[in-house]
Amino acid sequence: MAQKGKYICCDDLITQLFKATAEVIYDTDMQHGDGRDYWPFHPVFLDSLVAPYVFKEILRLIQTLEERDYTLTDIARLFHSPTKISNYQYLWPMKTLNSLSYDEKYSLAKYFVELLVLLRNGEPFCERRRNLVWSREELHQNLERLENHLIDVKKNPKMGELLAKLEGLLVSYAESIYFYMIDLSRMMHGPYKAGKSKIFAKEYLHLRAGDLWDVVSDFPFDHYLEVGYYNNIDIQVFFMGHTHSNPPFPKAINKFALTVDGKVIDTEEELEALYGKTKDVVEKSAQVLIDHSEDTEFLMKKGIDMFFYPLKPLYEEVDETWKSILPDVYDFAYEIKDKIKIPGPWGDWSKEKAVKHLLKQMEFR
Amino acid sequence: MPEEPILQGLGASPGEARGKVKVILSAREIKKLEEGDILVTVMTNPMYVVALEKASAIITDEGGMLCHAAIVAREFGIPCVVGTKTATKVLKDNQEVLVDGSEGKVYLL
Repeated sequence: MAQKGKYICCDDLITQLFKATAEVIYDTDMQHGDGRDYWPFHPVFLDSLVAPYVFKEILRLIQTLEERDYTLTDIARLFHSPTKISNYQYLWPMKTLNSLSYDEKYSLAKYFVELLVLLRNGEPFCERRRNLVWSREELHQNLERLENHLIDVKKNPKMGELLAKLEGLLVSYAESIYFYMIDLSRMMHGPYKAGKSKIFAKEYLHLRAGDLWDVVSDFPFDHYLEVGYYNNIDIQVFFMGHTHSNPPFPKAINKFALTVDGKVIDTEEELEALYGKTKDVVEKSAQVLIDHSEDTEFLMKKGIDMFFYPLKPLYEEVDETWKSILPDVYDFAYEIKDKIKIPGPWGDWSKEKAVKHLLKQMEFR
Repeated sequence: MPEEPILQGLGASPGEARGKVKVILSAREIKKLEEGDILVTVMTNPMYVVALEKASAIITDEGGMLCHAAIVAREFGIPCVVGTKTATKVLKDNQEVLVDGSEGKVYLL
């Protein structure tokens, strides 16, 4: 049994993790109409239903992998995206986490911090508003690999337009699958420096999620990676993955390289075909959502499932299915769903006051 | 350009666009939006994807720099003004407007 203070070496980083989490929750609430207008549910609703199960499962999976001699670096590789890990931090303030022991919470917080340090090359909380997923060496390797497939947007404006349309679709598509947890799929990373250019990568995971939602089983790809070269652009990436650019990406992009499921797309015909297939599935999934927009049970179950599906690579590594936990979560959800109180808007609370309040909710040490 | 804007919000995606207003209050209404129209709504969500693809600019009542409408607009590269509070009440279908996504202003033409 661990005692309070046992992990003193991590305390400072855990404090920083909670502070970064609290600040983003406040900022995100304010960006969505002061916490009143989330689609299709307020995060506190779904987060309360899944929090203890998601956290216990993540802890169990990591510990099982460690028992099988996986290093933390191996486990980080299975998560792949630090943005995905940082998105799970939204669950910390949930009261339903009371069912976790002190040891469970401490171990989890420690793992989260360690994984973020590993995956974000020393800036685990996007302290400088950047998400440095690639090390200098990985950046060099990736740029070299894609060098012969770069599209010059000035010479091929049609391809620049198609890329912007495709990426506009992907944002809505990822949100149709992962609701407000869009960054369980999306990982924006960089900006990196390469000579006079800024390099910024847009990556999406878990897109052909037919196992999660049959409507999207024929999505044309599962993994998307676009590496863009920019000049004269300001890009900021926040802790949970939200990104702001000025000017908008399509106005400042010079060159790009695109791969889907590892296959390079570097001709107009290929990109046009990809855009067309993507559009078909995106519009179909949007129509299904419109048809089910009043179907609370459909949306709630989908909302629960979406938290576990991104853990599929970890489940598969320990020879389990990501779906086995779901019946227990549904039962718990039906039991408590009517008892969840959605907090009112922050109103005239200052950010400082709101962050302090959230930190009190998260702190267990 | 008229001197006074009819609406002021937050410029969430820079650029200018002119077009006809279409006020969309639910996803079931998105069919009325045509290519090049200005999408005016409370806040977008993934059900609006068909409208978002056709719109030449977005104006919302709610939201800030990191809301769905702002993120999608920056990906599409179209102007967007968010957080106007009253766009869906002030603007009417088929009005011609100019959207200034840099300054967060909307002008009636």
